[in-house]
Amino acid sequence: MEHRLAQLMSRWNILRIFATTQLAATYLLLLLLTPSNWWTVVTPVLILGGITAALAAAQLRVVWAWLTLVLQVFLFGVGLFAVVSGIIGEENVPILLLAFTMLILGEHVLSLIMKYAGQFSRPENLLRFNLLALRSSLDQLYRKVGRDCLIFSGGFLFSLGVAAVVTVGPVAVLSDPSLYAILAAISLALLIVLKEE
Amino acid sequence: MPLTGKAFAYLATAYVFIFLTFALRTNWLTLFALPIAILLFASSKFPKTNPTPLSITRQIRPIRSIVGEHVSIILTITNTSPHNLQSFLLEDKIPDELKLHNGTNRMVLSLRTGENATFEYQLSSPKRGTYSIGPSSVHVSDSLGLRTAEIPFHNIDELIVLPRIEKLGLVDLKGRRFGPWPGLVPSRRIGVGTEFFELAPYVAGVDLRRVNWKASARSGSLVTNEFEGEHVIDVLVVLDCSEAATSALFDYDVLEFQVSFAASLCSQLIQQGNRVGLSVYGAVRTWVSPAFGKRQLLRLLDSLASVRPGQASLPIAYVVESIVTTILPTRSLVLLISPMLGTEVVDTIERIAVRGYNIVCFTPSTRASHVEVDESSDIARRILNAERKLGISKVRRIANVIQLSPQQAIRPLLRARARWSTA
Repeated sequence: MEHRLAQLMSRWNILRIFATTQLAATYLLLLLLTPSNWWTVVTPVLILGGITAALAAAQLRVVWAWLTLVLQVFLFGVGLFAVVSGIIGEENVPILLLAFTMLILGEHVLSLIMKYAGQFSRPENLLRFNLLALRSSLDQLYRKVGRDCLIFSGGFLFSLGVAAVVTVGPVAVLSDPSLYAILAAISLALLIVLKEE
Repeated sequence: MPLTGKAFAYLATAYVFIFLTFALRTNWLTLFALPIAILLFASSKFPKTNPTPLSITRQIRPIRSIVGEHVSIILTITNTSPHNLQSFLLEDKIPDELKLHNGTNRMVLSLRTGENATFEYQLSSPKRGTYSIGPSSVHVSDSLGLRTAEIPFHNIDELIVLPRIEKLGLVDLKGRRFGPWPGLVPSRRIGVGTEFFELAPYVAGVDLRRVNWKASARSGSLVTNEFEGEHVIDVLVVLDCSEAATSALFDYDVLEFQVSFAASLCSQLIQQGNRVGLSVYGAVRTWVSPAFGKRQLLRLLDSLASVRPGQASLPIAYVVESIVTTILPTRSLVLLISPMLGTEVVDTIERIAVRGYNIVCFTPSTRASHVEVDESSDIARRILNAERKLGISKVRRIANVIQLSPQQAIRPLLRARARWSTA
């Protein structure tokens, strides 16, 4: 019984470590996109972000998750501004795209883990559930995280593919057919989602 | 299934990028909308869980608890459908007043066909009352959490949190009307009891142990000891929970204090074998006819658990008088617990006394408050207090009045005022 509980806890902790690592990797990517002369401004945000990310994974509280997201969005905004304003080159767009995908993936994984926090966050709570149910729900969580990571990676790779195929350069925006393709994709997705209601 | 806030946030982000594309004339910004489009597509592709063929049973242990006691709620969920149900969030709603002590009332489950899951959480209530546990609801969402739906189950159970009961010790009552059943109240008549009452000539058949040999030697004929019969009496506890129970004159929770005292009194009187009834005057008017036993105690405590303060639609004099005269024989004992604010209560007591009932009044005492108030409030408070004192002095002429305070232990106070009721 104790062995099974310990096994469940260790599997649960692996997921939390994964979420933390993923958040840390996102910060690292965002740091790569920040011009070196801005590091003095960005470093306190990064330190704060590191703390909130660690707290979000440790305590699984919504407030830390929100703070982490806000700080990551801020850093992403800095990176985006740097590329748009030409401080760093457009060759960094794929890294920026990866950072964006990882940012939303990190938020998604964290929110997914937080849904399970009630049953797994405290070892004494584990005793109040039957083990079989706990194990199957943790299995399901692993499957979900794996599948969602694949979907997000697919999204990133697809975007990267589109970027490689279409011309990324200073062409007239309104005459670029790729823009219309993307707009159509978004509208279609929205249409499908709304039809489901 | 409606879209979640997350889905709207994704869509908003996508359109922000498209807007930026036009605004900054930088076409690569549209690439950032693509991962979101993929997510929206993927979200619509995954099948949704239909959790309606779930069976949920809830056990509450104990179903009646007292203030501060932990109550265990055990939920058993069974998948009765022929399909596997994956990742649905089950939430058991609990009232805001109850405190979740251990465990969780939300759980994400995945159940195969015929499989069941059990989970337990503990609650505690800081206040007495009747609480609804449930209903349970199942939240289903798509794989990416972009659309969600809540399916409620109509399984509501009731948890009764009884008021705290203080041990009052033996309550020494004196009555004027006695029931035929043996009890603990001296009846001032010869009967079965422990207190000596008088000497009587020996009658054949009387137990020889009752012969008073010294008195027999003095009188020259056999004389026996007769004892004072001890019987049960009918008691009606009247609890006044009108608006006065929430008056600012008292700097403590008078309502809870009164309810707790009424519960302690009912418990002790039932324990002593008396027939006890209850009448509550407040926002919720209830009464329980006098009866004996543990079940009656539960009825009384259940009634006290649901007490709410407030003005009833009918005047107190009419309500209390009609209930007292309907369910209680004359010359029985009425124990009135009231803050004694206003003339209505005093009138009520007078009217009950006129009908021949024996009345004892319990009233919470006021204390000098440390709360800073302005001059007008202070004057109003003083006037109210003076009126109250006047009312109490009026009541003292026809009934025994005992002032109670939460700072003072009730047991020794009642001991000091032994034999409350005036015969």
